[in-house]
Amino acid sequence: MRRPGWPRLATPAALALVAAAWTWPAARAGGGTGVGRHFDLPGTAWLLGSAHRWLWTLADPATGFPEGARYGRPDSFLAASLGALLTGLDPLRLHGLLQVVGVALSAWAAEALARALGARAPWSLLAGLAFACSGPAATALIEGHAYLVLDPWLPLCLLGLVRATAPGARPAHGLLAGLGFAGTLATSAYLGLSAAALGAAVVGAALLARRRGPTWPVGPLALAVATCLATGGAWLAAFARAGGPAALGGGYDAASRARYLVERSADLAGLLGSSPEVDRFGHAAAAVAPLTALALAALAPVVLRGGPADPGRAARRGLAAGGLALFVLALGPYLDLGPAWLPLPGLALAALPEVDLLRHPARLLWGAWLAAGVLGAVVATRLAAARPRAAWLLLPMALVDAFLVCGMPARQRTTPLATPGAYAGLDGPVLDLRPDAPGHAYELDAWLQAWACAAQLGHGQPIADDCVTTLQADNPAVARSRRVIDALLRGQPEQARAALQADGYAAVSLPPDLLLPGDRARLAAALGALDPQPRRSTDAGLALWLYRVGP
Amino acid sequence: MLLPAFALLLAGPARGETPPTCEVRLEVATPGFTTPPRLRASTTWLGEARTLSLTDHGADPRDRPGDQVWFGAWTGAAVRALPVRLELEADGRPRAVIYEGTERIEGCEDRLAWEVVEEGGRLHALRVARPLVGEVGPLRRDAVQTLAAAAWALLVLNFAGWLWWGRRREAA
Repeated sequence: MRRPGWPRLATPAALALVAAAWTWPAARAGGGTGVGRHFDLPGTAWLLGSAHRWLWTLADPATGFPEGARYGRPDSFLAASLGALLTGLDPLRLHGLLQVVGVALSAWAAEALARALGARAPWSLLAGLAFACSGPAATALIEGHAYLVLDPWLPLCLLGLVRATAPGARPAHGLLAGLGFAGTLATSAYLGLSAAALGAAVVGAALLARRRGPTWPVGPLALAVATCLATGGAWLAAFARAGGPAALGGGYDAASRARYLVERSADLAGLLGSSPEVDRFGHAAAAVAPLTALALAALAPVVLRGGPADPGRAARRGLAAGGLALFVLALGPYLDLGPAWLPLPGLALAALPEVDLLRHPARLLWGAWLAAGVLGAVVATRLAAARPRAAWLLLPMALVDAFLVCGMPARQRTTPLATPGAYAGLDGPVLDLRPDAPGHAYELDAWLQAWACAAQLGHGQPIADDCVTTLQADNPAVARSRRVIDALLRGQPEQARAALQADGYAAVSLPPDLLLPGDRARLAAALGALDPQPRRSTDAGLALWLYRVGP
Repeated sequence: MLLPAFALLLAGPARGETPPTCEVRLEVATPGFTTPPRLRASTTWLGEARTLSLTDHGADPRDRPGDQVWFGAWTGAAVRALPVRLELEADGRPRAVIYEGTERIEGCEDRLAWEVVEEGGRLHALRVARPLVGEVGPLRRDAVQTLAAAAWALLVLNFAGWLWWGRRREAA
């Protein structure tokens, strides 16, 4: 329902404007500049720009060269499909557009769900802001996982279920729920789990209410459940084919798993804001809450109690229960209260090896904040009936949450990702040599891998890196680079050349700034024996020397 | 919804802009030495070897003089990562390398911070994540931010409660 006088197009227009501002400068991404701060930015740009090559076979001969890489478990099938569909568009540009359009569409879908459950425009906008402009979305944008914010699927799945469990249900509603669920799974397993938890709660509440209230045809719901089960089953089968949980490289005991999950879970301080340190390292995992929507949702038990029966009541109760469950799970194994750690249900879950699949419990807040946003929008609608003018203040308050408390776009950065000039004219496979830090050097290793993959978008030649794996031990480029560098440092460049030529490589690249001065000189001397005139560049934020090793 | 996306698509990315001059600030906190230490940082910035003497005399307005936080800055074209080497000479000890590492550079302005500690009679610099200088320290800044957000949440809750109270009065 809309408020009288609220134009029909005002909602999408307002959400598009908010999305462009909140994701700024994503609207201007491209031309060698990406918007995001972590190594998933170049990785996701590579996914978008290369999917046309491997999406249909899940095998890519141009990465992991010469054996080729298999991508049975890419970060997102949805992002890969979009990339394949929009081949030819600058991947960094597409990455930026995904951010703007994704936030706008997700917010719009959440707003539609809120209207279906009793909210009216413009208060329904609170649901859109809570879902698409809060902590999990900001984390995704800062990490570079732009496809995660293109998530109208979760609200649409719930919208389909709400319609399919109400008088007037039609098969189309069941199909909408199934398609929405498939969309969440294709986007991210965390969104799929959020949809499953909220969907089960909504359906459970609807079935309970059906025993005492108006009935509705069960056919559309059966269709929804069948579609969701089929989609979920297909996803699990595909995942099992790709190696299942064992392929994730877990295998530790319950206590270690619990400790691992703690730092990837939501925490109370993080709900109130981020800090530059959290943004800089790891996964920018500050799950900032949409405080206005949350405060309104907290009043739901008293504001929505009593009054005339309305068809959305059962669904709202289900949504509240599901959202609360997801919130508790997102807090992980313990609630950190400073001096004391309170055990949570997540601690029991940490005993299951399958929990290795859920390495980032904080990402379950997508579902929790959607529930809070929808309930908050319905509560705001009821409250506005008594004080309509004062209630307008809730909208700027929600904007304060999005822009000041959550801190976007001030927390966002641009990253230079153009292909270095030294690659120009490259006419064969290239091995990107890299420094090899002893011990744990995950951050730099991941960046070196991501830069090699992003550079391929420009030079288009096969590379040694697997561009999806997060385990350096599984990245064939690491071992290959080690072998070549070993031969070069031992003063046997011809042996290195023979190995490279046997594998079909035409060139190797070297980032000289990132090497110890002594190693830099030794490697330059050895490689200079193979190619006395290497191509050197210092553009695109990276000094790079490219040596041809072909015959 | 699609119109703004189309407009952005047609507008294309930002081009033809002058590449900005970027700055990487170095901040090294030291213990109190009897004589002022000499701190030197070196790097290779896009192929160019550079050295920098860090100071604590407040010549740069961002440096608070005499606070034992030694300050310096490199500027240049945007760079993705820098190797950084720190050398320290203090209290009659010979010059020693106290840190070597490769730093990922974030955006066009970045700050790298270290703290010099003594362990087993040897000085070395720990890379620290928190910035060391500024009018408001990071711990205080985080506390202020959390308190402000909590106060904001309470204000929002009170406002919503006030709206609810009005509704109840109207219903009564």
